[in-house]
Amino acid sequence: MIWQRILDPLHRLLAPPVANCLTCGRMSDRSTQIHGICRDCYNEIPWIRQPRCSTCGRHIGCPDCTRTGGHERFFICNRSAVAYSPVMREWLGQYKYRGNERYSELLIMMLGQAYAVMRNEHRHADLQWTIDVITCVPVSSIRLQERGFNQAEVLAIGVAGLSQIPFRRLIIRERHTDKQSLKNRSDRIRDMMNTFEGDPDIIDSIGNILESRHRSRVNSPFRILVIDDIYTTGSTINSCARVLWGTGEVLGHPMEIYSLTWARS
Amino acid sequence: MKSTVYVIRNAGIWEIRISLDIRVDLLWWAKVSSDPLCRMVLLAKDIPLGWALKMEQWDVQVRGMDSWNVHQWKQYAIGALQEELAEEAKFNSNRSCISEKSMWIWQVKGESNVTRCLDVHSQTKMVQEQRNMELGSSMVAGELRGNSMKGRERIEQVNEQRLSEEKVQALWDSSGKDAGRGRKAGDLRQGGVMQALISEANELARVLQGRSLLAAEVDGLLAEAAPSLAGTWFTAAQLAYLQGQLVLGAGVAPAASPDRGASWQRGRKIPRCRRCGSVALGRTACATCGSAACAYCEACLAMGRSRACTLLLRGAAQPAVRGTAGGSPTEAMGRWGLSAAQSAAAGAALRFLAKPPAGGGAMPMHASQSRGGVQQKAGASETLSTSNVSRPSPSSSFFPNTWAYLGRVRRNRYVSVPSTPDRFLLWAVTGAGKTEMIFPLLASILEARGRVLVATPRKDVVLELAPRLARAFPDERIVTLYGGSEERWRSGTMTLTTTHQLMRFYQNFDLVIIDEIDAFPFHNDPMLAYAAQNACKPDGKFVYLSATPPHQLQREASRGILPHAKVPVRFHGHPLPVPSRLDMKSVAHCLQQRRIPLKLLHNLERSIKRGAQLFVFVSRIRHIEPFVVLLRHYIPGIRIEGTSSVDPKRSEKVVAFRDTQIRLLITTTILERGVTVPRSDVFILDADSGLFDEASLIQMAGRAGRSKDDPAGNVFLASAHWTSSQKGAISQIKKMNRIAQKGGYLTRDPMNR
Repeated sequence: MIWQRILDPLHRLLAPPVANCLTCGRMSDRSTQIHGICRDCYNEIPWIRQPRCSTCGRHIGCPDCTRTGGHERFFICNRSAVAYSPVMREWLGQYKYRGNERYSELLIMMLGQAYAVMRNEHRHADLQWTIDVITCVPVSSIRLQERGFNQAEVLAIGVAGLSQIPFRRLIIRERHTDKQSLKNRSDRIRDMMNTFEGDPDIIDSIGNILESRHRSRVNSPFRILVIDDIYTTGSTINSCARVLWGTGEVLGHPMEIYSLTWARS
Repeated sequence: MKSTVYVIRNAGIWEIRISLDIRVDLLWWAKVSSDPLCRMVLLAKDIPLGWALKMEQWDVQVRGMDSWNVHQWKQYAIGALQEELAEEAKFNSNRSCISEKSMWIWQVKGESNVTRCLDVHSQTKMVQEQRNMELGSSMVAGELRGNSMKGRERIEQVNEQRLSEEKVQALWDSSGKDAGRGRKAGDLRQGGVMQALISEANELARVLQGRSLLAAEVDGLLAEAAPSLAGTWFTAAQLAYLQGQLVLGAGVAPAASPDRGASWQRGRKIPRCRRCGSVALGRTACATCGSAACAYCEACLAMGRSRACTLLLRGAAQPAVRGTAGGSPTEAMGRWGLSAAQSAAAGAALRFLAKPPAGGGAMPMHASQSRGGVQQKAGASETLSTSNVSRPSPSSSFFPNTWAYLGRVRRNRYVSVPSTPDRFLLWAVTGAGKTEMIFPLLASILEARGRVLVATPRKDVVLELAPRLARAFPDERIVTLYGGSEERWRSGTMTLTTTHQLMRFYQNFDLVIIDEIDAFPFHNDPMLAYAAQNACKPDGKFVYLSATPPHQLQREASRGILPHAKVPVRFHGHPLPVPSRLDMKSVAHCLQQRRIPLKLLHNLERSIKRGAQLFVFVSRIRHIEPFVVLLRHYIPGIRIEGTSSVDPKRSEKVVAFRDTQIRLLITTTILERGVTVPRSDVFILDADSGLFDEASLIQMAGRAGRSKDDPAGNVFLASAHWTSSQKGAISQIKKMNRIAQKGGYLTRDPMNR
């Protein structure tokens, strides 16, 4: 027994540094691309590299965005890091519902990659394209009490750190809705109306950032990036964008709202 | 969650208490207190639960506390929470939950000395009025400086008192409609409401007896067991806590680590999960309690998140019952149909159960008593439980009872006399009928109106045992628990569960029987050992069942520290088949060459010719399919299949194998335990693989020769090298056969191989 106590730490010193992969738990080769998971798990990730629909970022043909007579869209486009495959559903579930906050680092890195792709895509058209402020979809206080954290906010703050863009809370959730994951499409769209609202402090906040921008960009539109974990119908992000759009009208400055979500379902 | 924390002066001593609903405490102390100077000071209305519980453990005695004002109390509280506030600062959060605005000091008017109190009160009132008049006149004089420093203090005191009373009054008024989340609405001061609350508290305590649940799990439990309480049980919980029927704790709390590390390190407390015993490493900003460094446990996430601010409720501990000794072994034989060897072992176990607990603890403190290399954390459960557990003295466990060594009766040779028992090992070989052997043990405790628990490592074993137990004990209420079981919240006298579910119990069982103690996952997971430990009452008993106990236990048994009984012979009275060795290249080699060595082939064909079923064990799942193809090529004419843990059709194949539709089944260690197939031979390929340890080899070998009609199955260990695990396995099997022979248990001459 005592012998073991001496040998174990020595063995650990001499052995190569291996650690468990976060998602599959095996001790295999670490991935060089993303910290924390093994190579096999990294290869399993269903990245959306080429969005087929330029509006909602879907990786397959999109019947939603070609539908006429739909609700007005207040955001320019959505891009997502991955498709919502069963494996991705498991990862998000572990983070959001189980509460394993180690996953936040992983998800933030994946979102960071997606943001880089999005930025490059837009810089083709406009070399000066850049996001001014990052915000997130808020969660109701009841849900916040229950879960203990707002996953979208954690992701947004992480991306803000990675991309050196300021993060601000710009939207307030007024009404508590039941879990979106339990509703069908039309219910989701309907319930999301009037869930969010603006705030006078927010207008000040945006105003401050506007003023602090570089002189050369004084006439370019104010770009906001809204971050959430999943994009399903786009109703959530649309409601948030509507509120932000209203704020833009009050300020009298052109505004462009973009959406970046971790998964596209 | 956030909870309230207050200080109460009772019987001359100040104590810090937490509260989930301060109204209950206001009424409680009014009823209970006999101290005329009884006072309650609300320190904080909403602070993280973990902080509140820590403050509760503080010894509060500072001179002059009796006359402190709100500000001084605030300073004291901040001082008490130095460490926590420092942690918060590290995470750049400056939120302080202690503000003078929400604090108040309340004179508790005890009902027992109402008149005296009133006098005091009216006296102070008169004095106050006098002072007011004095002040009034001096104000008229227009001077408030100089000696009216004292006057100002008095004014402050009076103001403070008035403010406090207003706050408390506001509390009562607002709680009529809505008392906050989880709390019972209504004016508790009214008799009717109070009565309802008392019965609710009793109900809650009854439902929670023996359980250890997080707040979210309590919601689930109440939804099923007591729906009227759901959503508003905080108030009832607070009352039950004050009465002593419930113990409140946090999911994760700092605990001192005992043995390891140098003495200066021992003082530092690391956060440990109270539910599963593992160190809680995750720290995160938590909106539920407002802390920026709320620790949570990652090991038991699958059962709900256990955080520093999650409320953990436990029923108060109950004393254990002692089993009846159960009479003579022949009685056991008769009633339960046990063989001679089985009933001798069962008899020893019954005597163990009937003994009073020595040393009082089912929590071994000494390093040598840890099972399977796991350190037990003694201090962890002590701070939560209210019972006083005395530690067993290490010396008495080291000297076995010398009487056992002298003058042994032949039959008792392999049954040691217990010395300081909490645990008992039933070492029964494969096929000895372990399940039947525990029936008399269960019966003895159940007859004494105790509660028993049978824990097994896997869900399918649970599902297999449940009907057998139900048949043997038709009058008892049996609860089967496993992940996803519908009986999650039921309670009964006999519980059959997988080891993970043990985390939801606390000091509930008089007898805990742990089956297959060496099997995955129990053996490797200290979390489950901790859970099993806590599920048993401190003066209850453990019984371990296994054919291949871990080396640690084997050593303890042979040294006499661990009382045990061996059952060296199978139920049908025939010896265990001793494996023979086949020298053969590795399976990977065979697959590469696409050839099967002749030696192996001959033995396979011989077994098939004698009409036996063949188990072929390989070490890796990826070998199975190619090997199936290869064998089918060599041995046409019989149905050959392969299965493993990733095979969805596994259960069907096992059934078909048992029905002899499949004659040869290639498999991994998934089938090493629990499977009984009559007339079978066993071939273990790659027996030198590191994945097959001694216990595994013995278990696999134990698949052969289980039925009465064919007790002499053949077992072959095929490998390229002769390893110590193979040697150990064969030697243990031979030893058991020898013991059986000497004990006269064999019905026939053993076939010496």
